[in-house]
Amino acid sequence: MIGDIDLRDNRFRAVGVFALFAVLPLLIPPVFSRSYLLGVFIDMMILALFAMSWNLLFGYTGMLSFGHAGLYGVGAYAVGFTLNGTWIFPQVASLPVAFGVSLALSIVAAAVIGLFCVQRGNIYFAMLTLAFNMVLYEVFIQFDDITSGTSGLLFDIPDVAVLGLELNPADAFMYYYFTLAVLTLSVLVMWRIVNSPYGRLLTAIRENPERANFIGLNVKHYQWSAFVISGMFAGLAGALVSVRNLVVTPGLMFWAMSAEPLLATLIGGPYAFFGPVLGAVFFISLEEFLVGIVGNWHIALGIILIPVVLYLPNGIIGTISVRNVRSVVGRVVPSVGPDSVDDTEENR
Amino acid sequence: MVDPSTITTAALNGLVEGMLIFLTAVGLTLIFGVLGVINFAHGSFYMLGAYFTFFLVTGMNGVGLNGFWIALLVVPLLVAVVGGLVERVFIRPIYDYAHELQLLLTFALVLVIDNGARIVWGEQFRSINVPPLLDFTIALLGTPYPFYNFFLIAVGALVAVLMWLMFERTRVGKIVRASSEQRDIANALGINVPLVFTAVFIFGTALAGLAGVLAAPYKTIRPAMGETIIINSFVVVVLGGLGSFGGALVGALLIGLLNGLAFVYVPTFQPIIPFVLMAGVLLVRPAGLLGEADAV
Repeated sequence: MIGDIDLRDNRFRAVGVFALFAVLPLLIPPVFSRSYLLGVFIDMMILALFAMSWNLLFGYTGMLSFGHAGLYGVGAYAVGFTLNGTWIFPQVASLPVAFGVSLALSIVAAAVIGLFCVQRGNIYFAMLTLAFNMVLYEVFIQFDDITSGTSGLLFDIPDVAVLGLELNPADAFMYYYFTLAVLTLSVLVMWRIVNSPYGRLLTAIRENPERANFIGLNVKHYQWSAFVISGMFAGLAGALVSVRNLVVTPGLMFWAMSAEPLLATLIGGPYAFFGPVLGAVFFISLEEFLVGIVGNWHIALGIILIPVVLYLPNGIIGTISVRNVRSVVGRVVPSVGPDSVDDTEENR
Repeated sequence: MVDPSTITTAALNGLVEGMLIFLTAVGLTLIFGVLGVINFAHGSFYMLGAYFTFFLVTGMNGVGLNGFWIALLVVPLLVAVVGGLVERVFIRPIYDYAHELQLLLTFALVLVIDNGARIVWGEQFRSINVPPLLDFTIALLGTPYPFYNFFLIAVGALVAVLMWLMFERTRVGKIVRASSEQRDIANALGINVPLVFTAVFIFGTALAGLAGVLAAPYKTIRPAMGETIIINSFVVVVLGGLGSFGGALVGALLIGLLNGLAFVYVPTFQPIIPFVLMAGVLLVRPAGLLGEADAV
């Protein structure tokens, strides 16, 4: 039922959305040339990617991960260790190499962690991901002789020669386009994934894992592969954030960080492909706006979030789109009680 | 290497910690078992309990009285009032929502309560003294050990016994268990289930408040203290079995003991032990140590 919402049968609209996403962002750096503002846009794109990776699990496969910050952190630390010369010779340590290492490591980490986590469904999945997240977090704090502990891993990026100019990829102007390119590519890949037969199977598993199992799908196998794909993109987002800050701290892996993609997605709308992107833009804008006013902006986030959950439980897109009304009723208000919340006998 | 005095002290410290976790985790598991809501904000009530105690005790010091004993009675009630309001206004509308939305709402409550505390009371650490009546040490295998820690363990044990008696031996306990197992049938039989829900939520938050009072002279009082204990309580609740009273007790004491011993003997691994234990138990026995298979 919720599968209706994606834009597949409305390809013209999809093309329009892509055009908007393709052209408008390209114009931002020349218009907003202050590097502070560019940084804000970069943050939006990073959170958008992080939230989309999370929503691949939540919105499409029906798995609530509370440990995505762990994989985000793995992606970030991989870049840090590559670029500060710990792992490979500094001569070959360039941005693309670092991102390659980061992708590979996120996939491996997600494959291992996912293998354990998908063994149990529902809340247990959430708790297991939280547990693995906290283990990673504590390991990176405890083994501070390697990771520099809470003070963080500092690294630098070598300049690259472009058209005879020595430029630094971490410079806001260049990094904006780099992040945009990574995000666009990732969005295209994710779009392809969720609109493939494989994506349909994931949606079927979300709707009813038990039935999917009876049809003959190996549910755990698909949940695992979805976890690995999602973890890979979460790691990529972490790689992006590491270069944005040029320092990697265990804070990136703290459980509260796992809440950010969750909040962005639920604000934007988990059952729409671009919901997490909209949510990320909203989330970062809100942060920028509120930090200037109240300093401690998290209280304002909480105050805004409460009515959102109570009155707009399907997020901004889910609430605006009339086509989603059925899904609002069907998803959010099942009959009564915890029994009705999970209909997945086999996951108990 | 294993010195009997060191190991006893480590184990006792672990038990103290375990009792504090028990008092919060048991409310969390009770609220989950009966209401079906995972209350992320439960640790914030613990934090409120500690702050209320701090202000009561420092306020009474001004007039030359020791407020701790009054706090022990009054603060859980104060926290319970806040809990009752929160349940009525915010939690009640979301009983029928999916778990993830409930988590999100209670997470929003954490943001509001904890950051409210940061704004109103500041980030600085605060502490109060142990009440004079309990402020002495007793020699334990030659090492002086603070008596207050024994008091804390005793109060936790007393609460555990009283709760067990209430749930297993009284009519109130039967009503609560009936509402948790078959809320529709309980409702049809004339039990005012919404009232039971509110009462359970209030009771659970009062216990968190009590844990806050007991923690006030023992730990540093700060806005983030709720976030620390809620993570531990989650681990305990899942470890013991969601909704299981006995599981919360066993899980909390186990985690407390292991933490206490690991803190002395393998400090590097101490922070990850609870999570590894939880993951291991979940994989081998998903219902938790004492949970029933169909508890969720």
